[in-house]
Order: sequence, then structure tokens, then C-alpha cells
Amino acid sequence: MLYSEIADVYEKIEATTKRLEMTDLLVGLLKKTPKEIIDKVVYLTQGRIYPEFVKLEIGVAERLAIKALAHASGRRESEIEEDMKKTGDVGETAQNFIARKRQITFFQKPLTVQRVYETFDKMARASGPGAIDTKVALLAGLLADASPKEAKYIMRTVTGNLRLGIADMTVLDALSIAYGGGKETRELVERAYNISSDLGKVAKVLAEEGLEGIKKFKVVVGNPIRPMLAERLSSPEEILEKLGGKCIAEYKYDGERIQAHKKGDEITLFSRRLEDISDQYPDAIELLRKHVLAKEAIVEAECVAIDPDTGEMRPFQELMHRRRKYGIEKAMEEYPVSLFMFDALYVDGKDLTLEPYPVRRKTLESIIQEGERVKLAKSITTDNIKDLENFFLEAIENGCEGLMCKSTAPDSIYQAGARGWLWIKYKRDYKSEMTDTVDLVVVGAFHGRGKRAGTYGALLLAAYNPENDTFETVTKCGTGFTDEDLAKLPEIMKKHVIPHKHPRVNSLIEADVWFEPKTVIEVLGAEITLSPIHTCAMNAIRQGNGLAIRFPRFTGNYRLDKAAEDATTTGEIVEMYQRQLKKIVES
Amino acid sequence: MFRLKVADAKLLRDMASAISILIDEATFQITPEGLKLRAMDPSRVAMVDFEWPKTVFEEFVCTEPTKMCINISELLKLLKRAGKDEIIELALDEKTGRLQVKITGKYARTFTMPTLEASEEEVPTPKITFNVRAKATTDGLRQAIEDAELVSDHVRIEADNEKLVFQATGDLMGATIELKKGSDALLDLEAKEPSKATFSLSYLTEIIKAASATSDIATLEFSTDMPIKLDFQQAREGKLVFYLAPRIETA
Repeated sequence: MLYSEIADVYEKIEATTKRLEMTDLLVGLLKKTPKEIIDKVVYLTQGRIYPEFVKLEIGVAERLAIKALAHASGRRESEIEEDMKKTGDVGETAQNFIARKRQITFFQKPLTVQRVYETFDKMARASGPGAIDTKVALLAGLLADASPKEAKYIMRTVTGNLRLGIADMTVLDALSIAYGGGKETRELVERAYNISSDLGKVAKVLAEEGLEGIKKFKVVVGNPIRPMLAERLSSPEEILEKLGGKCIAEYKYDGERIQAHKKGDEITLFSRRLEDISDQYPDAIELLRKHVLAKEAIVEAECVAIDPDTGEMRPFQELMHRRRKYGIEKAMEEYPVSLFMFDALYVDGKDLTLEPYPVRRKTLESIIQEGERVKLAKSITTDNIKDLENFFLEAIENGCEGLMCKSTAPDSIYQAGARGWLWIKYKRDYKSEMTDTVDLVVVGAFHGRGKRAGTYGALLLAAYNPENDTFETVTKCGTGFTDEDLAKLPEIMKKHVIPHKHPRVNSLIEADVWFEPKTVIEVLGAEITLSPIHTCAMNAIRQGNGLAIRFPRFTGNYRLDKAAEDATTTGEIVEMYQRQLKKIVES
Repeated sequence: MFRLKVADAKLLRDMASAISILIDEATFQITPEGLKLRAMDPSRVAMVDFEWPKTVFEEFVCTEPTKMCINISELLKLLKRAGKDEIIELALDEKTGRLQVKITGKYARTFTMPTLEASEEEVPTPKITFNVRAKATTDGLRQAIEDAELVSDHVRIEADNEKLVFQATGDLMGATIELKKGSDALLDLEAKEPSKATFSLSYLTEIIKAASATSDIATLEFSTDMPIKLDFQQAREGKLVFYLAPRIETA
């Protein structure tokens, strides 16, 4: 098959804005394509040479592409760059320059799809010190034989600018029509895609073996499954109603969703967008190696940044420090992660994607050995609105985004690649960001573990309620303390230790150590949220709930000048909450 | 199976170096008659036609015609380890499919390197009627090309029966280099008709520089706007010829 046939179709696809027309053009192309290279043609139409989850990319920088074009056209790089300024498109510029080539070549040969694909493949695989020169030479070779139109698409492909706008779904439509027998077979074809994430493989099996081959498609360890997505609602009533009155509610952790594929000791991690992100999380891989008891498994987890000192969860943004190529060892130390497992899609030869969620969760529980840093996503099974609401507030306060509420019905399968009502996100509509520091009273403490053994892991802090003359808990704070602070704290607090909760302290939480309400420290939090466990301003905003400070951090200031009664009052906290309450705009 | 022994390590190295100007992966043909390679650079602008009959070798054993593809710059690295008077032996280990490079002289060392999938492409020699034939010293050609390179990235080569002229025009500067028939640099010149053609200096410079190491005299053949043939005369019976496709200069 000649590459020009593909280039002609690209040109027509570019000219249309109608999806149906685009589909028809693709159908035409796919029918014309010899079956043995249909996978390659499918990848090429997506501007790729492998499925998305394969890490190899052609990866030619524009500068190098220009160099190759200069070589093949016999023109100077500066001339080409000048033209690029006008066209803004490396493809169009290539078309111009190949059309007006200065350099004659020997024996021009028409480009076949095979040759273009193989050359791209060689370019992608080139590595080592000479890789750049090799890539340029290979590209120049293609351009030397390319027509101006072919040159345009070759250049766009290698620089990652093909952008024909052919969605995966359009390819699936076209495949169903071309080889499935009609658009109505699309659902079957789509399932094969959803469990393999490999359009090329689906195309090839469908073209060569027909629908029978497609029906035999299986989940394969190493091929990412397209993730199941959730709808969203913001009231527990609606959620329970949608899910038939009962659901499994899980913490929706504020981390990165990962799909882990385990084959013996070999573990690959895929992101939500199916990129191989194994290199970012060597520690997560190590954890999974130890804590997943199955030989072969595909499991899903939320990977959350934790505070290395306290083990508390950190916001999602902290994970960005892990998106790097170099220095991952250091980032691992500074930004360690915990894993919260929530689904099992395949375990030791058994495809679980068509099993209801309670069965999958049970299977997951049977193969995960929990530990300090690997846990099952915290969950409850409930049919009660109030319980769901409280569990939600607890999740928020603990640093989660909210809840994932999942159907327990017999048909609650894993809908790979689909957004449906089997899973419903319960997130907040409003949040109240904190801008000022508060002065809080230390009323209790929790023993530290690990690095903090022998000192306190976190302090229980309270605001002052002048009406009742009580201290009402508002947060647990373990962040912001220097090693020196930590070393001194037991000494400083020693004289205030009492054997039980102080009568003026109002707390639903059991602390390990109780103090007289004397010491005041300055704290800055990220936001104030409704809380089912803290007593600060109980019932003031909502019946049965108090207020809590999320992501609190000690600023380093001991307010020795302040008496406990001079601390921030519960009334002030209510005011702060109300003043800053804003609707959350999803980005 | 084959085993080739070369007594002149420097010559083999210079030859490999000249070939590496154009190609990375070189597919050699080894027949009972000798060693051959004909290949084009990836952009198909230049071609190299190389041949060493078995008489060039100290020892030449080839039981059946074989194709062997190797990375020529990698081979070159190994050849550079050989001293001037050392002997190099090339042999294919049929079990491993690897090339053995044995260097003996002051001491003996054997390197092995992988062979690659041989190219199946048969490169024909261009059939061109040349109107100009010029015999020049490689040193003279080198000087002329280096002069031209100062002002431009391409050069027009013109000839009549009197002289061979290299004309380079850059954005700002220009250069004209004239070689007269019968001068020290230009040993002979025949022109059926006055001809001129333009060539990329990036190719021409590298070819002439690398090939001059193997040869003192080159024969240039060309016609108006046609490829140029550069035949670098070899001391023994070897052949090293380059073809270079022209550029079209629109006014």
C-alpha cells in the first residue's frame, strides 16, 4: 500500500468538519488497507506508531525535523525557519520546500506505508549517542522520496502534530462498519478496545478474524484497561436513590489513580490516561510487590502523597514533585506515597471485569495484605443518609476529596472506558478557604510513631468558646514542627499533663495524652470544613456537625503572650467559615 | 564463510572512513572475486561504489558469496586501534553471526561485533553520458573546495577545454577558483561541450576530504545539470567511486 493513499485520505479528513463524513472516509481507507498492516494504519491515523500505553515515541524535535528537511530539499535551515514563521506549521512548510526542492536525488521510489512505518519505528528505537543523527538521516531519507503532500503529513507525524481530530470512537465506528458488518456491532468492538486499550490490535483481530475474534478478546496483564469513570452528585439523598437505596461508599482520596499490572515480580503502573508511569513510583511498585498476594493481578489504587513525618495525607499537588525524569530517588524521600486499593479487575487467570463490585472488592480484600502504606480504600456499606453524610465529612476532614459511592447491584460490573451511574462521586459544592492564621489551645496529644517515636505525632487543638467557657476541638495538627520543636515538646508540655480530659475541654476524640488548656500556638490551615467529630461550633452551621481545620500547619509561633482564653474563639471560626464559603468551580 | 587479511591497516581504515561519510549501515558483498559495496546515503543524494579485488588482500578466502551488513562507524572505531604496520583479519563467525576483527602486530587482539540485517536493495550505477572528463590531484580539488566553502554551501562546477572553474556564490561573498589545463592541479581536461552543474558542498567536501586519504589523483566526470562522478584512483587494483546528484539553482 502506498503512503500517498493514506495522505490523500488525511487531506480529505482535514477538510471536513462532519463526523459522519470523517467516519466514511476512514471506512474507505480501512477497507482499502491490506489486513496485515491495518494495525499500523490505525496507529498512523492517530499520529502514533504504537498504542498509547507503549512508552516509545517517534519524538523528533522541530529543530531536528527542519534539519532533515534542509537536507532533503537542499535548502538552508534559515530559509526553512523563515517560512515556518509564516505558516506556523512544520507540515505546510515541508510541503512548500519539497515542492521546490533544490537537491536532486537518485532513483526516487514511491513511499509505501510499510517503509514509512518501519522508518518511524527505527526512529523511535534509535538510542545512544548517535541517536539524533540517525533520526535526522532516516527522516531525510523519507522526505527525499516523499511527494510534497506526503512530506506534510510525515513531518506533522514525527513532530507530534498530526492532529486529524479522529477520536477513538470514530475509529471504532469505522472499524465496525468496515469489518464488523455494521455500526450495530460497535458495542462488541468497543468492549474489546476498552479492555485492551489497543485500537491497532482490535483492528487487526477484527479484520482478520471477524467478530468471532473480537468476542474472544480477553483482559491481558500488561495491556491497560480503560478506566471506569463516575458520574457526580452532591447530595447523599440523590446518591442513595440512584444506587437503589444502598451503596458501598469509599474515601475518594486526593491522589493519582493508578492501574497496577502485576506479573510475578514485574509490575507496571498506568495512569488514568493509560501512560506508563512506572518510573515515577518505584516505591509504589515495591509496595505492591510485597502487599499484593496474587501472582498475576490487575488492581486499581489511589496513590497519595503523605507527610513523611506524620503519615498524614498531603494534597494532590504534592504528587507533582514525582512527575520528573531525574532525581526520583530524592523525590521519593521527600514526597513518599501511600496506596489505597479500591478495585481488582483480574486475579490469577480470572477476568473480574464482568463481576459485580462487591465480588471484586471481596477478591481485592483477599489478595491485599494491608500495611502501613498499603491499605484498602476506607469504606462503609450503608443505606443511611446521615451515615453517608458523616462519612463524607470525615473523608473531607482527613484530606480526601469526598466519597466514591458504588453500586452493589448484581449488574455493577466494571464498565471499562465508560462514565456511568454505577459509580457516583460525592464531592463538595462549596469550600471555605482559610487565609488567616488562628491561635489554638493545645488540649491533647497523640504518640508519635517511626521517626517520631518518643515524642508527639500530633497535637489536638481547640478553639475557645467564651459563652460556655469551654475549649472545643477543631483539628489535629502534626505538620510544621521542626525536629527541635519535637524534641522539646514533651518537656514543655510536661507540667500541663493531666491523667484525663480536662473538664473544660469538649472533645469526642480520645487523645493519648491530655493537657490542661494553657499553651497557645499559631496555626495556618488550608480550609475550614464541616466535621462529624470535632466539637468546635457544634450545631452552629449544621445540626450534628462541628467545624474543623483541614491541612493544619504549625507556623512556628508559640503564643506565650496569650492565655488560653485569648485564643481564637469558636465564634470567630464560624465567621471565617461563612466569610470564605465559595462555590467550587471545577477546572 | 570468509576470511580476509589486510596488510595495510591504514588503507583499510581510510577506506572505511570514506564509506562512513555516506552510510551508517553498510552491506558488503563478499564473493570469491573480492569485496564490494555499492550504496546510497539515506537521502539518496550521493552514492558510493567500492570494490577491492582479492588481489588487494594479503589473504582472501571466500567459499561462497556472502552478504554482510555492519555498522561502519563502529568498525572504524576498532580499526583505529590498529597501528600502521599491523595486520588486520576480518572473519565471520557463522555460529554467532558476529564479525571477528583480529589485529596482530605488536600484540594480538580480537574484537567481535554484531552483524545487522543485510539490505536487499540492489543499487544500480547511474547511466549518464558525461561531457566533461577532468583529471586532477586530490590535493588541488581539496584546496578548491575549501576555498568555495568559505563563502557558500554549494558550488557550481564549470568546464570547457581550457579550464575547470569552481564558482561559489554566497549571500554576501563570492569565490571563483580556476584550474587551468596542464597546471599542477589539473592534469588533464576534455570537454565535448562546455558544461556546468551545481553541487552541495556539504557532500562534496566530506567526500573529497575522506577519499583523498586513499588516493592522490581523481577523475571528475559531469554534464550540465547531471550527477557528477568522482573516481579516486587507487594504488592497487581497488575502486572507490562516488556519484553526487546535482542541485537545481533557479535564478
